[in-house]
Amino acid sequence: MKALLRKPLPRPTRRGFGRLATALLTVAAAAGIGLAPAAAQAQEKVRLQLNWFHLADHSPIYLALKRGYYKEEGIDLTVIRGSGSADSAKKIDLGQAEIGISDAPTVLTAISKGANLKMVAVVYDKAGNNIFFRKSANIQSPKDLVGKRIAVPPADSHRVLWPAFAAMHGIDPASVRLVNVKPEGKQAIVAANEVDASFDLYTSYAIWEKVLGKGEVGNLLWADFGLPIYGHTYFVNNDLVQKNPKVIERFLRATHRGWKDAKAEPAASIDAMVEQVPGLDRNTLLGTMPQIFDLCVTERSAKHGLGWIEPELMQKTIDITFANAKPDKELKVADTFTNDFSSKIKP
Amino acid sequence: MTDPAVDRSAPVPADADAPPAQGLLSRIIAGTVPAIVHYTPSVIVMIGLLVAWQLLVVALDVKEYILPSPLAAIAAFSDGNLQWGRNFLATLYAVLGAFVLSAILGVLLAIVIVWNDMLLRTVMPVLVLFNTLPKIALAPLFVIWLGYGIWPNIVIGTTIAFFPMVVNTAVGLASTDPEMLELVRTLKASRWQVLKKIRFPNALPYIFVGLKLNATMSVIGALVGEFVASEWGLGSLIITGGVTMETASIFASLILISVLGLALYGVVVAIERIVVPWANREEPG
Repeated sequence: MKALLRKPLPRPTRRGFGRLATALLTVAAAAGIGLAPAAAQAQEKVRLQLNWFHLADHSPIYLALKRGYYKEEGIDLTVIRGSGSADSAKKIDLGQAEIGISDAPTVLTAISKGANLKMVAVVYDKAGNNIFFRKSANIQSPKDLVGKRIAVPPADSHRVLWPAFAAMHGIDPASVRLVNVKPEGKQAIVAANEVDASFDLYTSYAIWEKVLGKGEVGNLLWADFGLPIYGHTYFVNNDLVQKNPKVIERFLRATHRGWKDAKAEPAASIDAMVEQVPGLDRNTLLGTMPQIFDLCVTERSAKHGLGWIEPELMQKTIDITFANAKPDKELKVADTFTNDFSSKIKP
Repeated sequence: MTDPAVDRSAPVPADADAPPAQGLLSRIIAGTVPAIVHYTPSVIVMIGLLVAWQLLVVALDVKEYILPSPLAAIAAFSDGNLQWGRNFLATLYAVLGAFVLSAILGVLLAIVIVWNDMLLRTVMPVLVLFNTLPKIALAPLFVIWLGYGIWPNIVIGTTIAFFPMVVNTAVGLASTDPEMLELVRTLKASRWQVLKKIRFPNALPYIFVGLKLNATMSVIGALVGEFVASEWGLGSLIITGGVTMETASIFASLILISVLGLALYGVVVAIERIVVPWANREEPG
């Protein structure tokens, strides 16, 4: 034993191969960049922190990557998988990525707790907050939820917004039993009849149909029942706004070119993501695209350009987010977002 | 895993000249004073760490949602919305249930394994295989089969905590002094008598090692269950705290969970002192 400790074993050769491969890749990558026409413009590294696993609403980013839109803007983009809006907000605050995607209510909550964040564009012009259930559960309006058990996947703003939504419909929040559920298990627990319904974004419709069966899925979109607020947004650390504002503008321009293309060719958008990210179910993702465009590309995007933020609607989002829990710090709507970097690209 | 048990049980036999049994109370008191002396340094280190944590959070101006100070965590206990009592009880029941069930199941399975060689060869590989399965990955299936709540959490906790019980008890039952076994065989003792009078008392120190592991693993198991699906419980509060960025409430939950785990462990140690005091093992005699 002691002899072993004194004299380390030679490294396994496999590791040697790994190193060699890495070195070769680095050389190849360097050569590739060297040959590319965009080389004249230095590529700036930007990390994008997603809100969650790869979903269809991330595909326009991959379409923009595939078509070289980020490269044209001088951006070398790395996309980082997410694990919930709260986690993304924290990572941007700590400078672990430059641009994040999170639910607006979660970003607002983070700001109220001292995170140094600013929203720069919306992904979801209308929030996709929603409840899914079996059609047979016969839920027609929020009032029908009284006495029911609802699964709450802790990945987005449903838990934060629920008390305000319940109050809006005169429901005593205590009359509904909320069950914390691992996000991956939300469909299964409804399918197993352990709960009556689950909070989940409207854009997951195709996934629910896959689990519960075609024609078996019922849903209530909160936006249809008096909750007109913003959903997911792109946001940055205020330090970036100070030090490198141009990169935000360039990022949004490339991203919204991707969205414009995706609107015209949804299948190409999904294919671009499936090619670059292993293990995705192409057809289910493609099935969610109509709902995504319903919420993301609206009359407001047509008027001002994709991602434009209306102050009144952001104020409303703030009001609803803090309807039941006073924020630790009062928020001024003008401090929470900016349209300065808007791409003004219309769909 | 079983090494400490072997070391501890070594001085056990041949203690005929041990001092006469004292009263239970005086024995506990006599054991308490050295214990206090023994643990004082570790308590000082723990308090020192807490003070350092508090000072660093304040000095470096760390945002509370990233890392709350110990005082902020304690302050979270005054937030009535979090319903600490009800949430603590939900976790407590699940932990105790998993602990008791693991203890019973573990000892029974160990007896089965030790009963004959055939059973050892057939049952043990199955148990080892089961133990290698990641229970965290299985937990979502339990939720689909059994639903959510205290009972499913007890089952999940048991699947995690029973294995060290089985292994330790089985080692204890099997490690009886062969000369002792030969002696009682010449006296025509039945297998049941051998188990009851020789093997089981001999295994008690090992069983307590298993119980100590069981105590901490039951806590982990109950929380695994609560993380997958739960309406109540400290694990449920941790998940909610993550979404609402109430980090102080997460740390407050962690404090309660550690207290719960330490208390259960302490109870096992206290019972061990009473049931298996090394000076005179054969209590009833």
